Amino acid sequence: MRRQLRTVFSTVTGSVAAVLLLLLVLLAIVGPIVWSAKANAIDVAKAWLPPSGEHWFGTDELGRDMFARSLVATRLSLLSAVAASGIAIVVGVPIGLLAALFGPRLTSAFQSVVNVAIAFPALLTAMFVGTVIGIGVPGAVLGVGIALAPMFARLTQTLTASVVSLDYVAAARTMGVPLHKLVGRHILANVAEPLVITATTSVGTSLLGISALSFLGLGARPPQYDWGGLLSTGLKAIYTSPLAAIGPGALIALSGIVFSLLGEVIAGAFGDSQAGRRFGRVARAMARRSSKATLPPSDVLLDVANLRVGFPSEAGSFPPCGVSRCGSPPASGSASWASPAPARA
Amino acid sequence: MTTSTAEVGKRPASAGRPERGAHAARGRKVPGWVPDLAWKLLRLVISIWAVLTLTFLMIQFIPGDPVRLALGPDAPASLVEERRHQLGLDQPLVAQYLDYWGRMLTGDFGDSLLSQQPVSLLVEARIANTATIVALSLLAISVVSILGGLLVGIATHRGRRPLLGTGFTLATGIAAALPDFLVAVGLVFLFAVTFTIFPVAGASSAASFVLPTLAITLGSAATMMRVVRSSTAVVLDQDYMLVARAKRLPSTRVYLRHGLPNLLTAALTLGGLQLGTVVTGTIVVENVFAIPGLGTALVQALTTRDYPVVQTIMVLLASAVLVLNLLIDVALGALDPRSKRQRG
Amino acid sequence: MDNVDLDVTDGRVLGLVGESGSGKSTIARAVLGLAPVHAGTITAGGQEVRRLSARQRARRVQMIFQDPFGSLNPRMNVGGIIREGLEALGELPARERAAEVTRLLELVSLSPDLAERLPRRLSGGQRQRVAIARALAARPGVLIADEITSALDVSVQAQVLNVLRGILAAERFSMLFISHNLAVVRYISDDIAVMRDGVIVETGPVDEVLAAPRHPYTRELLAAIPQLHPVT
Repeated sequence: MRRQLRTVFSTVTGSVAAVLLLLLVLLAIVGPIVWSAKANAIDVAKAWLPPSGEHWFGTDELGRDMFARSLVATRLSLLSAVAASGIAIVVGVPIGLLAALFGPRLTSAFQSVVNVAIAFPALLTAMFVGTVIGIGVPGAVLGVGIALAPMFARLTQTLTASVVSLDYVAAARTMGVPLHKLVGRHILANVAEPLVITATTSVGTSLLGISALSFLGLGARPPQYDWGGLLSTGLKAIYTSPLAAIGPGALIALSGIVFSLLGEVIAGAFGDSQAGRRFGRVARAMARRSSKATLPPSDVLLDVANLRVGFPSEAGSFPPCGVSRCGSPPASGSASWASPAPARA
Repeated sequence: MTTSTAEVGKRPASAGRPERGAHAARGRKVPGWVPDLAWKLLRLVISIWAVLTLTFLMIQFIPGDPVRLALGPDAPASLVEERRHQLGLDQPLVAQYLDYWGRMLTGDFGDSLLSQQPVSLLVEARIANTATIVALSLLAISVVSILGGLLVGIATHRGRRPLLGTGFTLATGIAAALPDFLVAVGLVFLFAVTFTIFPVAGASSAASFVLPTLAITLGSAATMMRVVRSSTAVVLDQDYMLVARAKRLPSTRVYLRHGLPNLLTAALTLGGLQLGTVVTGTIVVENVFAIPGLGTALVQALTTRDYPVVQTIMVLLASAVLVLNLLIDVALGALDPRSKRQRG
Repeated sequence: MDNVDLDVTDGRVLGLVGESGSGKSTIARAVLGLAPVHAGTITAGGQEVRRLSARQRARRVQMIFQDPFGSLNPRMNVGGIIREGLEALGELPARERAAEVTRLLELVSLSPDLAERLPRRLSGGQRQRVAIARALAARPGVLIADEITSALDVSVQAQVLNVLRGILAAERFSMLFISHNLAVVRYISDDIAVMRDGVIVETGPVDEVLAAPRHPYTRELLAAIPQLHPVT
């Protein structure tokens, strides 16, 4: 993990994304502490003021400072985004695991449901949930979380399916390893990286989704406010003080970009390092299994005979072998079969 | 030992991709286009059934008295009772469900809780605007992303014009990251404050649809343009393209002959992938540009808890997505036999 | 596949030989509960295997897989992998566990220092020996070795087989040794069963069967290793 972190910081985009994320988190922590008083100071006489030295983004309909409000809103905006992603993971990952672990029939049923669910507009799902549990931050967070859950379910199902057929899972089963350890140690540990990457990007997606809901008046409601809500306030004053809308809008865009960049950078870091190699190896192991299956069954031993004639019986304690490795012709499209692994040990 | 491990890892995973295998297996189970179509239709029916059932249950899920919530604490009890009766909430659940089905299938969507007008009138008045925006956006996304992606893909093939390549990646990256509501607000700012060519509110003329369409198109087109560009690069590296160019055929002819046949297929595929985004995009964008469409009606109904309107519009939008998805799926299957194998 | 009748007798090694796709691996997987069984019985130590709990079965039957690159969890170190085999025995005190891991590593001629390593830093032969140690950790009555050398290079195959033979001499357990390679089977087995198209065509003590093969398919197999003819 430390090596991955170093890789993240070694790229320009990685450093930029990391620094911006740090700033956002810092702002989320100190923002409400420092600027709350200013953000909530009502002065109707100063309503809808254009930007000035005193009010950088101008003021809203109650004369509150839009800049201070934008800073304070960082906490709610980020927290709800993280919470929504958390819900998506908590709902989606177990469903994907179940679908992959328990039989092909469940898997195909799952696939039909999830494919429809993914094609379904996420905002509509979120609105549906919001209607049921009421308009507000919890409704928006739960709605976006549930809307994103199918994505995690499908990813987990695909990844798990690719791991669960590997021999080390079979080996663990023959050891009598209980299910929770099997899932934790052998499956989740080996599919964690793509999940982490998707989780990172999904925070950005959640943030945009919740902002959209708040912007439409279906998320945070007064007295709570997040960037989406501030953006819709600012839109009302777009003719007189455009910064009131552009400010929160820029913060939304920036955060969205930070999380998607971060996801990309993490993916790159995993790709460069041992994790990527491991993935390559898993794929190779599977390729080998499939190529074994496509070998013409009856030719194997005959071909050995042809190849082995005249081969000196050199090994003192052990007759030569290696039939499948050198004897059989490479089956169609099995590159890994044709090239033997480098001799080691 | 370390070097050998690295060598192992670098080998590309040529076979054994789980996705591919799953698709192949599914394709074998349902051969031919007839069962394929039947399966797709069945899935559509089940999906629409699920949407209708969920929207029906929506009111039942709401904790407390949904009518009281909608009308507010000051509404007289008699009015609440009247509206409950109007919604059929005093009926047993099964009767309500059957009634809901009957009404939805016959196009009788009930009356709005607030205005007491039939919901179907509202839908009739507004559906054209929404449909226009959706259609224009899908068209714009397909055309822009395919032409743009193709041109940039050809221009920057094999590292040529690196500046254009980098600029393209950067620009589409930013555009794709911007959500539609931000783009819409940005457009309002630009065209309300700086240039006043297009109207930023209402749907009085054809020009009113320019900015909403643009707001929806930008992000999706950027994403899709990237896809088209990278697949263009793949196609250009195919042997038959190399042969064609080795024969010194005029380049436009090469690109047209091998590029165009796939245009329709590509357009449909990309349009299909963006359907959900476009439909939710209209909801957002209609609200920004104050266009009287289904999106504005939906948001208004959501904030006022006007359940019949919410149910109707959700069912309509969801069904539109599902049906359009099916149509695209079928059209693709007919156009390109290969896609049948890859889509289940 | 039908009517397959195999007996792995106590303390002996039964070699199961046959071409790819003849059903050898399916038998192995069925015994371990990894493949479905439609009819018939599989007993280990007198008990129906499928009735046993996973833990009980783990004590009776263990398996070494063909591909040492796929059979070790890349996320666990060697010590952890072997400890997982020990868990089948029930709770052991931590100190005993560490000592047992060391003993097992030494048993398969690996340095105990390797316990901290991840599989990716081991060679194919080392990995396969870790897999053997893991299977032995559960102290199974029967060990199933499914094509354990076919993914390895020739020189490494000999190493792994010699390690296995050394363990067989030192510890008493039965083994079902599956291979398509008659030479390998003959090197390690006491008895032999020849399988073709899901049917056992010939079975008996290895010397007798190979000296006087009755079934044409066995003769065919023998002919495939011509350089060994003078010896038999």
